Amino acid sequence: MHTQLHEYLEGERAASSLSEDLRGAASDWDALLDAVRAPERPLPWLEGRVMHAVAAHVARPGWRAWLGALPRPRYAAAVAAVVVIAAAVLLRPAAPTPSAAPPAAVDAAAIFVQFALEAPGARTVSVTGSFNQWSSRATPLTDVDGDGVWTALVPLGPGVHQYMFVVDEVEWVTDPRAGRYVDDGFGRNNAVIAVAMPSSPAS
Amino acid sequence: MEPDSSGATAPDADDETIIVRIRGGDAEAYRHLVRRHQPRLFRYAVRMTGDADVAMDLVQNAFIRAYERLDQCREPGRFGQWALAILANESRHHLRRRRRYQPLDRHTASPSPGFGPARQAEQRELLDILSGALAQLPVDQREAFLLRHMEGLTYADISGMTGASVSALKQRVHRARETLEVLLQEIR
Repeated sequence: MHTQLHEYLEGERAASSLSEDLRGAASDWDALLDAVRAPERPLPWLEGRVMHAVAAHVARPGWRAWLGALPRPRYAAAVAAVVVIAAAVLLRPAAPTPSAAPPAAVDAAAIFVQFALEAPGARTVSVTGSFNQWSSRATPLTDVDGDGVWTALVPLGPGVHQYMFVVDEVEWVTDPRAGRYVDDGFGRNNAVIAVAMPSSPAS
Repeated sequence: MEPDSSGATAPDADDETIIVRIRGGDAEAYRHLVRRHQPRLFRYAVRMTGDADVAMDLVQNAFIRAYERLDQCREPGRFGQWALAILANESRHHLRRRRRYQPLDRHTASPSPGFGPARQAEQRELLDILSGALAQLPVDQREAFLLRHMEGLTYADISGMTGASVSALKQRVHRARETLEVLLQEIR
C-alpha cells in the first residue's frame, strides 16, 4: 500500500495532492470507512437490562464482593451456587418498548436472584427454569472477568421456581447446592428455589 | 441544562450534569447516559466481535461496570469515551478468551439514515465485505484500526485507553490497513 495513501488516511495529505493513480484507491477507502462508521441500532431492551442491574447495585452495592467470597473447589468441577439478593428491589414498571426478543418482563415487585456457576472452560452458560419457560437461551450467564465464574441477575416474582443450568448448550447441570430438588421426569433433578417478598421494601 | 421542576434530570442534559445528579443519588438518571451512548458502544462491539448477541452482552457489562466505577470517571464531560475504554477492555478480554479462531458471524448493519436504497445496499455490501476482512486481523490491530478510523480518536487517546505506546499503535494501524487492502482486493 502506497505511503501517500497511508498519509491521506492519517489526514496528513490532501486528496488533491495524491498522484492520479492513487485517487481511485483513496475514494475506495473513503467509501469503506463510511461503511465502517455506519450506525448500528442495538436492541431496545439493552437499556432495561442495564437499569435492572443498576437498581440491584443500588440495593446491594457489595454483591460482587460477596460473590467473590464464595468458596471454590480445588478440582475443576462445576459447582453452582444461588445467592439470593437479601433486599427486595421494588421496580417501577418499565416503560413499554418495542423489541424483537425481549427478556422476561419484570413484575412491578420482583426479587433479583443471583445465579452463579463455576464452570471454567465453558463457552456458554445459561439458567433455564419455570420462570423463563425452560428456555435454554433466554437467560444467559456471563463470565465478565474470565475467572470461570458465570453469573446472572434474574428478576423473579414471589413463589416457587424450578431451574437447572445449561453449559455449552448441551450439558444440563443440576445445582448441587440447592436446598430442594424435584424429579424432572427425565432422570434428572431440578433445583427448587422459593422466593418470598420481604415484609417491607428496601430503602 | 438545569433539571426540570419535578426534580428529574432532563434527558438532554450534558453528561457532566447527569453524572453530578447520579453522584447525588439519582441513579435513574443513568438511563440517559445509557440511551445516549449505547449506539456508539454497540457499533464498536459489533465491529470488534462480528456478533450482535455477544456485542449486546459486552455493552451491557461495560455500562454496568461504568456505573459501578462512576466515581473514577475523572472527566464526566467525556463519559462516552471513558465508557468506550471500558468496553474496549471487555472486548479485548472476550476475544482473547476464545479457545480457537472462530469466524465471526456477519452482523447485518443498519444502513445510514438519509441514504437512498441503492446507497444503503452498497454500504451494506461493503460492510459485509469489511466484516469478513476485519475478522482476519489480529485483535490488537483490529482494535487500533477501529479506534483510529471508526471512532476518530487520536493516537494519544488510544494510548491512554489501551496502554500501548503511540508508536506501537501507529504500527498496528499501518499493518491493519495493509492487510485490509490485500484482503479487500482478493474479496472483490
